[in-house]
Parts: sequence; structure tokens; C-alpha cells
Amino acid sequence: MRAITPSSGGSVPVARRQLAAEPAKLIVTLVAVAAAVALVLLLSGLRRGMGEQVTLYIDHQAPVLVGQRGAHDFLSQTSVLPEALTGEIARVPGVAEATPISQQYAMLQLHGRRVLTLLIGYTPGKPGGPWRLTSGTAPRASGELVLDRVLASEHGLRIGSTVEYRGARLRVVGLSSGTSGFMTPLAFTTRTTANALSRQPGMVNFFLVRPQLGVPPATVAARINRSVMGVSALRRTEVAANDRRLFIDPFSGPLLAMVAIAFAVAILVIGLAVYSSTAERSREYATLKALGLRQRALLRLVGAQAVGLALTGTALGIALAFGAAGSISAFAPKYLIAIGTGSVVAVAVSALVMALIAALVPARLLARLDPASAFRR
Amino acid sequence: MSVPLARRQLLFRKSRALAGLAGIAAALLLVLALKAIFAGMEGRLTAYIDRSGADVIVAQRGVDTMHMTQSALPARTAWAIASLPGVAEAKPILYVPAMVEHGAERGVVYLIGDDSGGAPLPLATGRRPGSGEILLDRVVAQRLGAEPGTTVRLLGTSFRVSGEVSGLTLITNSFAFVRRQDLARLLRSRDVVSYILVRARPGISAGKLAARIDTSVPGVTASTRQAFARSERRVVGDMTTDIVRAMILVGLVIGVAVAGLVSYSATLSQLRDYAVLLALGLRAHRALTIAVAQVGATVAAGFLLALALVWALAAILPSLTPTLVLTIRAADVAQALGLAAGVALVAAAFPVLRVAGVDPASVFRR
Amino acid sequence: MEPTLVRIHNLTKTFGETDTRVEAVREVDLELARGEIVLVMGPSGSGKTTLLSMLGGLLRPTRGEIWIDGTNIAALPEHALPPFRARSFGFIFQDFNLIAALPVRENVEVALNLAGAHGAAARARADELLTGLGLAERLEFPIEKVSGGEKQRVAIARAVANRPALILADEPTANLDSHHGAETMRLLRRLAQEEGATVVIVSHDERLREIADRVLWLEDGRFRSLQALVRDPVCGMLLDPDDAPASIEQDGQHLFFCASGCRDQYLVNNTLGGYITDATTKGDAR
Repeated sequence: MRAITPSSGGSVPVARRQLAAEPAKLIVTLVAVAAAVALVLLLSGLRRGMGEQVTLYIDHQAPVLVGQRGAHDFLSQTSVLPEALTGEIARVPGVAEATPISQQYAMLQLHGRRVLTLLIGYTPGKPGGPWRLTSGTAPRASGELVLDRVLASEHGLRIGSTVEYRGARLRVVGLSSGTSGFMTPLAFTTRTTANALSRQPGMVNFFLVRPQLGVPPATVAARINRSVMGVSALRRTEVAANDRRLFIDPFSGPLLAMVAIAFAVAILVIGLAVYSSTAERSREYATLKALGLRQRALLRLVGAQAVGLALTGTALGIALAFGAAGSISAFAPKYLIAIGTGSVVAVAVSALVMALIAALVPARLLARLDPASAFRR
Repeated sequence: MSVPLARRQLLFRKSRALAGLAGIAAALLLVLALKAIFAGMEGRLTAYIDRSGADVIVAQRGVDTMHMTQSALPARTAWAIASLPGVAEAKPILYVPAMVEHGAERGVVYLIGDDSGGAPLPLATGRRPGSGEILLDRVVAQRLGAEPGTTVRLLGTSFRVSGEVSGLTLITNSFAFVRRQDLARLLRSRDVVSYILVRARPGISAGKLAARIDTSVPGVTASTRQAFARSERRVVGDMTTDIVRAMILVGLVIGVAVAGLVSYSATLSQLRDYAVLLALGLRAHRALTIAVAQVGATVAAGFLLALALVWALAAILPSLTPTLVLTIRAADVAQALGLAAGVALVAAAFPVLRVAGVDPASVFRR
Repeated sequence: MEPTLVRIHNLTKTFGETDTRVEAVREVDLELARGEIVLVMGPSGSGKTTLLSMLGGLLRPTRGEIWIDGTNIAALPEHALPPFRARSFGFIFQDFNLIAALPVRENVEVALNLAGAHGAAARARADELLTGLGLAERLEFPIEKVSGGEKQRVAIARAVANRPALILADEPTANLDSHHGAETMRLLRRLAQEEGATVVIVSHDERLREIADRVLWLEDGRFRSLQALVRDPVCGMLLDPDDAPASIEQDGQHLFFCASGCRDQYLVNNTLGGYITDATTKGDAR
């Protein structure tokens, strides 16, 4: 007797029929799997987005960064240099321009809430300031501030609003875009203002160095390291990579734990759905066995259900993740969820693994099934 | 009833009951673990402040936090404060994040420059730092392989490790202590300090002293240690609120899905039993009780399992990753319990509706 | 104690409306004495199950009265039915209908719980009944591990646990082999005699006629007197002589057959004699 296989053309799609027989259960299963998959993608997307946001500022600056000796990243540690170094760095062959900036985490107090920003102090007219203003002007006089547009709207701040910071009243003169971040939205002021707040006139945190046309950044950095004392010159890309790693690494552990739990849940839910429908239909399977369906075909049937659920649920979860990421960027733009193709592929592959594991228990149940039980009452 | 009907029905298909238990526990664990991690962060955040011995912390005007914050005061402010009545000690400190390097290893620390070499925090080993020396938190020292006597580099200069303190490591960073003059020189800020830690004389409350400093000294904000610590903790809270809310939503969805699936298939497989029992004389409302009890027991067990797991994690993790600390707060447990109750309520809807519709006459139908 | 336990008067059950209207039971009158065993037979769809459901207080009649030991259960409020059922009725089902999640002993014990007996007393009575039926070794066994014959004995123990006045059995021997079927019949007989329980059995099983005090034939919702029915000598089917598809007269005796085939077979078997009356084969499907 020819075995009934779910895959051969023209046969009854048993697996599909069985899944569709209980629509409510199918929907609940798919929702649970989709939620778990979406969670995994959103969490990893958040992690990646955080990384991208963290390097937002320096990604828009000159290709070489010069900090205090030993400084390898922009955000995590202190770098203090004298203003006087500007000329010395500018004179290094290959350097087209050296611009001093100051940088500090600024904990703004806005209606009782603490809002963390990254405050950049730069010289008006020189590089280092906001790269896109949606309204107002760049800061020129002391006490003037440019805020990220998203941050401003979140807290009801407009052009002309004042923000109290470190005992000074700063006036918002402009709003910038492309400067949003959940941990570090950007704010800009003049370097004199920033230094006055820190009580350190003439202080520089970093130099932004633009190489001359045709000179590779690595060369310029090496030359600066050789000629100027007490500094570390690095390519901007290196610094960005270090920043990302230092910021993200501590969160990896908990994030990984969440992802593991989400996966476990997805496997559990699929396994539960397939197992319960297998157990409830053991009579039908026994009948199919009695009718001649071979063991392998039966296992393929259960496997088909599991794979079907896993892939459909995963597809829905991926769609849900992108949808959620889109909504989040529309309603809460300070969160950047960057779901990469790599993650999506990894999740899709994991879905198959999920399905296979989830099918194991019901498969064992089927293996032990006695076809004679079809006749038993 | 001497026959425990609900228990028998629930445990008849062990694997299904187990799957429901595991799924609900996982969903609740997501929420409990995340909240415990953030609570742990908040708790550790104030480790230094809590043990610094200060009653009042004075910062630049408008500043009442330490982490990710800048504060700058003229050095002479310390003397102005010290001369106020009720002040036993006014200790100026410099405070900056710094990268410590030892060979190929690197780690970020919150560097404190003070005149007491880290006192009153107790030493784990070694001695307090002199000029050119540094006192490291034990965890950082181990990670960098920098025991007392070795040399590390920070801010472009070498420092000799004089000793270790313990218990000051966060999820991200750790603390280290050097002499204030060393740090001031490196930061080119000779006359600037970050914070002033004030100890009160007996007889005056911290709140009163803080108010006195606020009014007497211009350009500062004085906070009691409690208020300052609370402010620090809120930084974490404010930043993580949205993430926590999202996670709670996900936990709810997953919990309801699993509990719903399990109670759905369990109810279907028990429908005939209900019909038989009703025919034999079981009252309708008791049938509903049996159905609801099964859902309730599964969710309750799932909650307890999640609690046990997060408690186990809190006990085991620190020995594996010293930077990760889980703190289980009563309020968070209560919230998770509320979540579980919500899950149970929704998951019980199907069984209740279905069992209410069982017709005992169906026992004779074939 | 009054000898009549059950008095049914004008009992009717109608399902559906206008076009789909079905009268499953039509104006049935019946009296059952205590300790009597009554066998109700009839074609499928004749209303036997409906009648049994109404007798057992599981289905509300459309019209009529059902007096059980002085109580008209058709007029009892909904909430009073479950405890009445627990105390007064015992049910035996074709599929046994035991609770798979409960072991053998608890399947009987739960019936006792429902009638108000709990704890050690209930357990003791359950054990006593099961032991009396030869199941002493199986008390803790899960139902799945117990054979069909044993399952029916558990079901019977459950049915009599509360000493009900009325036992309702639906095809009690249908899923049993002849040995266990006979055993079940003996048990039912014993219960009627020893406990004075009235037993109403709905079944197709001819063997049960041996233990029945009365055999009733229910067809199209109405009782027909079985005495008026005749048997086809070839296939043994019970027939209404007025409606028989084929018949012959032989030696002054009328013989009735279910079909011309059976009649012809009879003639073949019994060669000579008899002249064939004009038998009209009723070709309409019944």
C-alpha cells in the first residue's frame, strides 16, 4: 500500500487541515510565537540602535580625533588638553584643520525629570556643531543652546525657552535634527559657555582633525602621535568602534538572557500546540497507521505541523518587529531600533531549529502509537 | 469533596501541565529578571555615596547626581562650608570617569580624587594611595590583573596600585581613588573641585544643614545624602521606564498565550468528564470552580517558579559576573503577581464559557 | 413503601420549530414498580435515548409529568435537579464514561461525594462495592490500565454507590464480549432483587430479554405492546403484523417476514404445504 505523504502532489494536505481545524488555537499559537520572535528582534535591534546612536556625534565629524594620551574612546572617559595645542597639531604635515571641542554629559533637569544629554561645546563658525538645523540658529553668544528637536518636543521646549543647567540659564536658540538618542541626545553650545560652566577656560576635550586632500587618516594620526606630546590621535572609525563596545557590552548579558528566554518560550509554545493536537488526535493517527501510513510519513506529518507553525509564526514575528520598530520611531523617535538583515536571517534559521526541537516530543508519542487502538473504545 | 477533582484533572496530562507551568514561568521571569537587574543597578549606583560617611553632598548649583554628571565648584567653597556652624568636616573631591590600562587590559572607572585616599571606605588589601598611587576596586583590579604593587596608566600617566577596596562595582563601571592634587594636575583644574562631602556635627540634622549651606553659600546646591541617593536612583528609573513597560507588555502577551493554549486544550479534553459529572449530580457552579481552579493553580505555580528562578539567578549570577547584581524588590514582586492575576483572568475565560455551556444530557449521545 | 416508583404521564418531547419539528417522544404513559427490570427496545432514532434522558432528569420534557417516588421531577427547579440525581439515580453508559483522571476507587468515591458523603466513610463504601465486584486488586489503578469488563463493573459500582431507587442503563452490554455481557446482566438482576432498585435498560441486545420483567417497544416516540409483535422465522427480526412487508399463511397460521427474500427462503426451506396469499411487498424504506 502506497504511503500517504503530505508532500506528494495531489494528496490531502493533512497537516494543514489539522492545523486549520481549530482556528482559535492556531491564532493563539501564532501570536505567542510571533511575540517571542518579535521580542528577540526588537531587543537585538535596540542593542544595535543604541550602538549607532552612541556614535552619532563623531560619525558626523572629521576623520581623525585627538584626545589626551591614553584616550581611546569619546564618551567613556575623561580627556583634557590645553587650547594651546591647536596650533601645534595644525602644523603637523598632512593636517588641513584642527578644531578644538569640549564634550560633557549634561544631566538637564526638566520639570522634575532628569534628562541625560551630550553637550558639545564648539567654536561658532568652525566645524563640530550641529549638522542640520530644523529651526532657529546655531549658538553664537554665551548662554545660547541648540537642542535636539525630538528632545525639545518631548519636554515642550521651543526656541526661546530657557533651560537651567549647572546654575546657569541657557536659552534655546535652535533645534537640530538627526541628533536624537535614547541615552544621549545631543545639545550644542559655544565652547566658552561650556568651559565657563566647568570653570575651566581654555580647556579642550578633543581636537577634530581634517587631513589634507589625498592624505589617509591613519597617516595623519600616526604623524600627530609622533610629533605632539601627551596626546593620542586615532581614526574616527576606531574611536566609534570603541565607544560602541564600551557602551553595549555591559548590557549584553541581560539582553542575551532575555533572548534565550524568548526562544525557549517560542519552542515551548510550538511544542505544546503540536503535542496537544497530536495527543488529541491519537485516534486519527492510529487510524491512519492502520490504513497504511508509514511511521516516517507520520513523523513527517507532525514535523510539517511544527515547521508550518514555526515558519508562519516567525514570518509574522518579523513583520511584527518591523512594524513595531516603525511605530516606535514614529511615536518615540529617541529609540532607534536597527533590525539588521543578519538578525532576521539568524532568526529564520533558528525558527527551523525551533520547529525540529518542538516536534521531538509529539514525534515520540506517535512512535509509540499502536494502530490497533483505532479499534479500541 | 474527598476526591480532589481539580487536582486530578490538572495533573492527568503531566506534560501539558508542565508546559503551561514552564511557559508562564518564562513570561513572568522576563519581567521579574529585568526589573531585578535595573533595581540592582539602582542599588549599586549609590554604593560610594552610601558609604562615604557624608551627611550632606554639595555640588554646583542645579546638580544633584553624580553619574554621567558634571559638577564644578571653586576649591575655596570647601573652606566657606567648613566655617559654617554645624559642619564637622567638608571634604572636597574631584570626580571624573577615566580609562585605566594595565598591559593589554582596559577598564573604565569612576575616579575620585580626594585628600583621604578613599577613606572611610574599608580597605580589602594594601594601603591608601599616596601621591602617584591609586586605590582600585577589587573587581577591576582582578579584571585588569593589577594587584597592589603593579603599575597602571590613566589620563596619560602611570600610577602605582597601592591597594584594593571592595563592593563598589556597578553593572558598567567601578571606582578608584587617587590623591586630589594628582588628579587636579592631570585635569589642569587646580582650583576646581567637583563635590564637597559634608559631615554634620552631632545635634544638627542633615536636612537643616543642607538648607543652611544652600542659603549661606552662593552657587551651590546642597542635598542630604538620602535625597542625593534618591536622585541618582531615579536616573536609572527614568531612563529605563519605557523598556520596562514594553517588557511587561510582552510578558503579558506570552503569558496569556501559553496559559490560554493550555487551558483551551485541557478544557476540550475534559468536556466529556464535565458532562458525566454534571449528570451524576455535580452542580453547575462547582463545575466552573473546578475549571477555574486548574487555571489558577497553573498560573500560581508558574509565578512561584518564576520567583524561585529569579531568586536563584540573584544568588548565582554575582559569582559568575560580578558586575551584574540582581535585587528583588517587594514592589516588583507584587507587580509580577498582578500580572500573573491578569493572565489567569484572561486564560480562564475560555474554560468558563465552554464549561458553562456543557449539557449533561450529552452523556447519552454517541 | 408504595410499590410504584415511577409514574410517567403524557410525557412529550419536541425538538425544533415548524419545518424542523421532531416529536421524539409522544404522549407516553408508563408506570414502573420498585425492583422491576424493564427493557426498552426499538429502532434507532425511536426516542429511547430521549426518554431515558428525561427519566434521568437530564432533559426537560416539553409536556407531561414524571413522578419519581412522589416527586414530579419535570416541575423541579433547575438547581434542585443535580442533588436529586445524585441521590435517586444511578447511570450506566455504553462507553462506561468513567473519569480517566481518577483511579478506580475515586470514580466510585466521587459519586458518593456528590450525594453528600465524604472522607473515610465514602472511601470505605467505594472499596466495599468494588471488592464485592471482584476489583479489590484494582482500587488504585488508573482507568486506562483496566479492561473493558472491569470498567463496566466500576461503572456499575458507581451507579449503585448511593443506593439509588432508579438505575438507568444505556446499552450496558454493547461494548462487552459475551462473557462480560452475561456477567453484567447477572449483576443488574442481583441489584434489582437485593437492593429493590428499579432498572430501566435501553438496548438492542436480545439477551437482556432473559432478565427483563417487561419488554417495551418504543417506535416513533410511542410505546407498542411487544405482545402484538411477531418474529420473522428466518432472520428473527421483530415485526408489526399489520405492517409486515411479506407474509404467508400456512396451516391456518400466519407467518410474517421482513422481506420477500426471507419469505422465499422460508418456502425453500419448508418445501411443500401452504398456499401463498397475495403478499404485497412494501417497498417503502422504513
